[in-house]
Amino acid sequence: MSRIREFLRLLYKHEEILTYISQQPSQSISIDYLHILIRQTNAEFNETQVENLSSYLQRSDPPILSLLDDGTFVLATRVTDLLLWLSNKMYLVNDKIIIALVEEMREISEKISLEMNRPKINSHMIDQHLEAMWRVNSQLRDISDSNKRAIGTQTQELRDGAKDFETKQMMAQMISDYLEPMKELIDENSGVVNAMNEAELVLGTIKSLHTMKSTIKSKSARLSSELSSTSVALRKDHINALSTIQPFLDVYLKSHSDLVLGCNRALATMNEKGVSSLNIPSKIFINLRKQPYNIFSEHNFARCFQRLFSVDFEARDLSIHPIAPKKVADEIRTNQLTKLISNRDSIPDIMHFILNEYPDQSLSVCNKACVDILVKMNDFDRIRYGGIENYSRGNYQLEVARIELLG
Amino acid sequence: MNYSDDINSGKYSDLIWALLRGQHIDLEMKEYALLEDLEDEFTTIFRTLGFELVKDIQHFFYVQRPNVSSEERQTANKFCAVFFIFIQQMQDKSDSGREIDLQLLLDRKGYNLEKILSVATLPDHLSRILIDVGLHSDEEIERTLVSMSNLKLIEKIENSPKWRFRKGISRLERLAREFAIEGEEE
Repeated sequence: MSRIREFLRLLYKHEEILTYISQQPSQSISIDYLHILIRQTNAEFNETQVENLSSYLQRSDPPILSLLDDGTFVLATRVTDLLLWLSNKMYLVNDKIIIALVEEMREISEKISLEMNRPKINSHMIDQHLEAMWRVNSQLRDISDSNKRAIGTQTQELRDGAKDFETKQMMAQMISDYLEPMKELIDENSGVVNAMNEAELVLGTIKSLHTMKSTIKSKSARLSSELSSTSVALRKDHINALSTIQPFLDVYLKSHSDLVLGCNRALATMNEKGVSSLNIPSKIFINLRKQPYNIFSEHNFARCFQRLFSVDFEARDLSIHPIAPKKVADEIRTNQLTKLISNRDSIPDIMHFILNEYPDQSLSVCNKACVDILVKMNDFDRIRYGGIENYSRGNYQLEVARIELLG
Repeated sequence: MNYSDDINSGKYSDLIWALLRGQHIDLEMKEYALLEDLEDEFTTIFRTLGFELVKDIQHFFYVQRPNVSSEERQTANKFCAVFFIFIQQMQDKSDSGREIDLQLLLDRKGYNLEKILSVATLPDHLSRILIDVGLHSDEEIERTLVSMSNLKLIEKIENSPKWRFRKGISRLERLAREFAIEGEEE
């Protein structure tokens, strides 16, 4: 997570500059304008520091800015999304606002206490303070409701949002950072609970004062009850909402196996630069069931499965009769023969079939034709190799694996 | 007759062809023991044919060759994209807290890959990757799963919509881990 933390640190630190760029057409800005922006937000920077920051934003991992060929900087889409999300403050009411309201309530309680300790109580002033406290209480109640809904929305966004895994990791980290003070806020011993309890005590003293106007006493009693219920709701809503989102945050915040990280990085690269950029085929070889060509060379085929040799025969008497004219063997037309064989339902022995079809051709020519036909057919699912068979023609014999054509 | 004669006689031609067609022979298959016993002989045969017989440390054999066709390149991209996206989806939907690793993948209960990888359920950025590798529909994804099954990388569980991963998938798992390490080094 250190990489994401570093990225978010940069984002938070330069939120002002980046938000400005995100509001520009195409989220792009010229290099000169970027330098002006950096100088405006960092008055103490010298020229080298300005240059360094602009290049640092390009070199971040993942890059926040990319330099285009025309010399303009463009903001990464992911950064634009996150900035938009940040600028909406994730629709959560900041813990600082809650603390400010609670502080205001504490001040009002003190003012009421001061008023109550005066020799002559100004009931109008107390009424005014009660009105102010009522307003603060209503605001706290509204915040509690809206935060509960907002956290629900964030949970949904994390679970179903069409963002890549790393962006979700960043979102989870931002939500976690954002909710951290909220967690302290809802602690039982937190300032919020103490301030609400103190206010209730003050309101209790108003109720017990016999000389106080009955309208103020009843208003104080209603406010006390409202405060009590707000205090419970504020904690309960936040506890429920945080416990709902925490498991989803954990999915992205916990350390992941190398398998998950690797898949994430591979998918991010595929998304950004295309599948070919990973050069997967050079890293993993997949042999296929059907090949466009014969899967191994004739040379290798022969070396592995065939042994062609001549056989010495005993010497025979030579004939003195005139030799009959030599018969010219029919040329093997491989294309036609391939069609003829392919169209057959099955052939138990392809070599035997060819030898029968071309009785005048030599053994080696028939054998070569057999290999050519297998290559042209290109359908190895229909071929089954059997045991070694012995074929002979003339003075030659051939030992070769029997090849059967399946139906 | 010795083993070499057996091999030359064509006795193991079905096994040789299965490997040449890209199948991964793992420990669960009866041919594994034979390959292990006759590893040297089979290695020689495949080398003669221009292939390399690889014995993986995860206990499976497969055959590879240096010059791959464009169809094989596309298939490698499809297999990896499908596998990477499955892992990503699994991580996104994970609520068990259990680390996703090879052991979890090899769980015999299997996974409903067709449902997890369905175009309808994938977020846009993952659908785009599938389109980039040529998988535009659920039917094409299913065909890729069947191809992976033919190579014994995965297996359909009988009477169930689920698929289970076989040992051979560790080749893709290892590739993913390599990408993680490369990313760290960068």
